[in-house]
Amino acid sequence: MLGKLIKNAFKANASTVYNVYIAMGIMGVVMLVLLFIDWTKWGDTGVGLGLAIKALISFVLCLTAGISVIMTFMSVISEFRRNMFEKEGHLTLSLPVRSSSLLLAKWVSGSFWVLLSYFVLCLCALGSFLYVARHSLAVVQGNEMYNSIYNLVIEMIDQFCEAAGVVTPPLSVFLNLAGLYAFSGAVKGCVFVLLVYFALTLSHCRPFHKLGKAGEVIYFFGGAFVVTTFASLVTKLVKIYIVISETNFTFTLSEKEVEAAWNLGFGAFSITNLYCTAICAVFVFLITAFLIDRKANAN
Amino acid sequence: MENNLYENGAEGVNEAAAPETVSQEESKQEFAFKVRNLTKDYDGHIVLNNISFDIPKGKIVGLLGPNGCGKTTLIKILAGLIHDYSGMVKIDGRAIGIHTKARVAYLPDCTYFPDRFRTIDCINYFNDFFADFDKVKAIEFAARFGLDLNQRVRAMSKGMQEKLQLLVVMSRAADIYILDEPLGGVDPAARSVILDIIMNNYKENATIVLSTHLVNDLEHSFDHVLMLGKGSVLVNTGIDTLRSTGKSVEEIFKEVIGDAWEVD
Repeated sequence: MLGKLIKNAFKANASTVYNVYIAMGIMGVVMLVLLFIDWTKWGDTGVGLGLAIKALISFVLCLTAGISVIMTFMSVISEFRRNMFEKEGHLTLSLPVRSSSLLLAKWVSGSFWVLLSYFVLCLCALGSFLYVARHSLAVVQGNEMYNSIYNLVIEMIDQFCEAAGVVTPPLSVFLNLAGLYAFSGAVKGCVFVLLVYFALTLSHCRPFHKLGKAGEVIYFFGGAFVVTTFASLVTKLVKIYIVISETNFTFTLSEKEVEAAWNLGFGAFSITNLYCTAICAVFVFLITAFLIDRKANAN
Repeated sequence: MENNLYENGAEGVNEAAAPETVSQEESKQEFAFKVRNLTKDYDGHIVLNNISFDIPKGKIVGLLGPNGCGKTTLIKILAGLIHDYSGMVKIDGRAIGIHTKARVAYLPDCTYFPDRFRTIDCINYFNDFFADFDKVKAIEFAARFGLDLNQRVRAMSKGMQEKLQLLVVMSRAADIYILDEPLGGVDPAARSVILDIIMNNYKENATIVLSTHLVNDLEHSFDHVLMLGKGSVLVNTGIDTLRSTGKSVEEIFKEVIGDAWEVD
């Protein structure tokens, strides 16, 4: 049953956002086609025009990706509200399935689409940067351009680490750190979606329904405040870090070791906040499933 | 008159005063629904006021009452859509939950399929979630109603959407059918077809609860009548008992509902 619920939830969210992804796909194809045009044939004017066209389409692509994030977010909210508590709720809530299965299906689907939209936005931003950089560098450096792009990225990492006051770690460490931050962001994105579902559910329970849609916003921020405060408090009391070297990962509770790791060109990542947020997510999930099962009403 | 019509004498039973004390005769009879001291209000406005009743199994029950008397609220509670009520509600001896939902085929008074669904999607959806659903029968119904399997819900008229919902609900071999105003939005010509579909396609020995304003059209189909009014159960009795008064259901309905009927 859970698989069928997830399938339907995926389709429901996809039906509202697929147009944006098709539009981005078309733009991606146009960008690829533009790569094969030799702008130098038309001299400096052609190169300038090519850069302008590529910059413009890159900008539109990033803008569309940004719109897709907003649209996905709106879709996740409206789909949950409509499918659980409005007319479609008469069907959904009369299905012989557990409320936890219903919620889990919505959560998996909603989180997937929200994370996908963020991922696509990042991909578009990075892709657009490289796309425009490639055009500029290809003109002046020919086949050397890929090395130039690589050097450009390394230089950016150096500047970033310098600004943070730490020794620049090797690229492999930096990539591992980036992966951990991305994972942490993904977990927090999933918790964000769950908090939205919690707020929507609470606003359909007595006496919380009285505030209407304003209540949804208030309950969301209330829930987010509780989760963030709990995670921050625990993070202050207990600090667990992962120290990343080029060869392995080690756990430590010592801030001195973390400081030393950064000075040695290693990376360190605090996981306390991450697991506290994950623990909160379990509680929010159980509370929301209970509310759906025992308290919430379909309109 | 009202008290004479209470077949089960359940109205007004106070659970606190007589906790779960059922007579020997009552315990022998199997009930599709057992409701005790059910109260439900919307922001202080009481819709169902401490009502208690039993509905025997295997009956076609007419759920009658004027607008706003709590018919749809009662149905939503039985279907598991409303939870903030007080009192006890049991279907086939079990509290509302997954088990009762698996046995109840519920038709709401609104359209509940997503707009993007095609007819075949609605049929597949029911096939996915209800073990008692007969897909072949549903496709046959769709053809009989003239519904294109690839037509989207958003492209259907309200009447077509109601037919679609009815056909999927009646394609289930459920133990209990709860139908909220199934004839409400359809033209008089279609009513007899829909009524025919309902009466000829439910599972043998199933209980059907049929909420309606169209007392005259349906009274010959009922085995049992439950009339609600002003938050209370006004009548809960078998059709034979009603007919023994020499009046039609509609006449009794008008008589019992009284002022509320005039308001409607």
